[in-house]
Amino acid sequence: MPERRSRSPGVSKPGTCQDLWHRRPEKQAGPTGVEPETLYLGAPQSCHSCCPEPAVRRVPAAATMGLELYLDMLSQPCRAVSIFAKKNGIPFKLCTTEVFKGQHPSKEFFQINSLRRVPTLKDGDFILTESSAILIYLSSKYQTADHWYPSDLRARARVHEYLGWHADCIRGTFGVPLWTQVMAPLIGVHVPEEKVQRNKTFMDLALQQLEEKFLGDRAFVAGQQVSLADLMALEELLQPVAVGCDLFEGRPRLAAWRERVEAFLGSDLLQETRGPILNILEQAVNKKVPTPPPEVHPCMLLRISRIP
Amino acid sequence: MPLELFLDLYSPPCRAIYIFARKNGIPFELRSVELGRGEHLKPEFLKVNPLGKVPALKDGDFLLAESVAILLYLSRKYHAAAHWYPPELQACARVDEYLAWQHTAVQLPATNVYLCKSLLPYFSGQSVDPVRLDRLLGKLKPALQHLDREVLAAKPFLATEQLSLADLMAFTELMQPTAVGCDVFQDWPRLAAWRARVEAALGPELVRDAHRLVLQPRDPRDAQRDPKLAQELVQRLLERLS
Repeated sequence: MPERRSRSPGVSKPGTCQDLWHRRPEKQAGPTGVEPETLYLGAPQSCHSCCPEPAVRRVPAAATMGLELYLDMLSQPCRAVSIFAKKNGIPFKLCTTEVFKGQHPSKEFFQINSLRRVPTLKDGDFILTESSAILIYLSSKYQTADHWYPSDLRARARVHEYLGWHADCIRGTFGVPLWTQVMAPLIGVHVPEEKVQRNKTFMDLALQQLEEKFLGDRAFVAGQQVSLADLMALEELLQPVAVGCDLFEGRPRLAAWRERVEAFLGSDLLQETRGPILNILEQAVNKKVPTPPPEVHPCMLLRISRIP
Repeated sequence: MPLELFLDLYSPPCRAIYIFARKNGIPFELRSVELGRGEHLKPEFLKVNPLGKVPALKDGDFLLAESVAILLYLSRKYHAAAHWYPPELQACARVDEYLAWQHTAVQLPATNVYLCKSLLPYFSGQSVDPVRLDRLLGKLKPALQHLDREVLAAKPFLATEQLSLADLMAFTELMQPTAVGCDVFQDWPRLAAWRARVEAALGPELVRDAHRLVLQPRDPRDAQRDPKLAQELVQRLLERLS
């Protein structure tokens, strides 16, 4: 925090103070014609001696060009990426992309990501999708503690072993309850009970394998310390929990693992990240979830059609 | 104790590992696991991989499942040339990105085409359902289009300027439906050119050797040796492909 310089009272008129704290930069359109977001880097303060208005430190986004993360907090892999970056103090600009509200700056987003996927990372000119690739990239670039992505050959192999299985057996499966209970009804689609039951069976099998093969008698899914694997797993498992499926009931080993991971990450960080997903069911019940605009219906219908 | 690789060369990820190990001169013992005879579900194999899937690796007392994990392990342990999995941050990320994406975008739909075109007729004795096949090919199309029109428009290989693990995995996956008569390259010129490049880089003889099994036509009469198993598999396949 920079020192507040003292000034003689009345030295500047409102809006003309030269102190960075009070400068209001011209909003400039970025190269794609979209206004860049500004970063708020400190709590609002007022400079009584100079300007009557409270000062908010604004820095144009261009000045801090660096890592951008396009995330939708309803998405499990986005939460994993967000938690990882924040836990490790990695500075980034959050570009909230609420896919089902159609609110993302679609033209800009499309230009950087033709598949319109979240999470997406933009580091200068470098654009990267796929949460596991992003997590590995961040852990390498910012040299996070070894346990996240161990350098030991076998320990690292265990993380990749988990991530491979996760891609087949966890992704696509644990997101289904949110779709059947909240997202599909929003656009008037009813997912047949047969599919709901089939999904429960797939989840049960995956949880059994997670507990027996990956966790076993270890503290975490890929070893004795928290790693990227635990982050990915936990946020996926949280998705059905958020819509009332208590996966952890009757699974004490899994519940204990969850407690260990959450204790490590910290409740403040988790609450902050999980706000939207933990509120979604209540919002849906109270009919407070905004109806997705027509342009996102086709991709929603496609996703629903993929439910086995 | 030598390295043991538990593989069924009918399976694309197994072929990728087989080709990688042979190409890099990695000494190993091939332990054949015939999926068609349910060997992956037998107790002996479940001791190696409790998930009941191939490929699997046994290196002394170290057991490892999952094709990407195995390829990365072998690549690092046996000091494979850097182009397979580059040390540079961004290049490595590109390979990681493809290897993550391909599970649901390529492997799943390509396998489903193969199951519809080859395995289902084999176990049921019925001819291929053209409507179902068409629908399943349609699900593979977005990935083919993305690879042909976007990825390969910018560079000669899928992740970097050189052959990498991404290309190896993609190649064996896309050969799966192709080997049984659904040529997924035919409408995509860049993809077809890429295929030729990859084959040349890996070595045509090695590629042929790895694909020997999947290129052989199957005789449905063989499946009827165990009609009960055949029927069970037909049920499961129909459920998966519906």
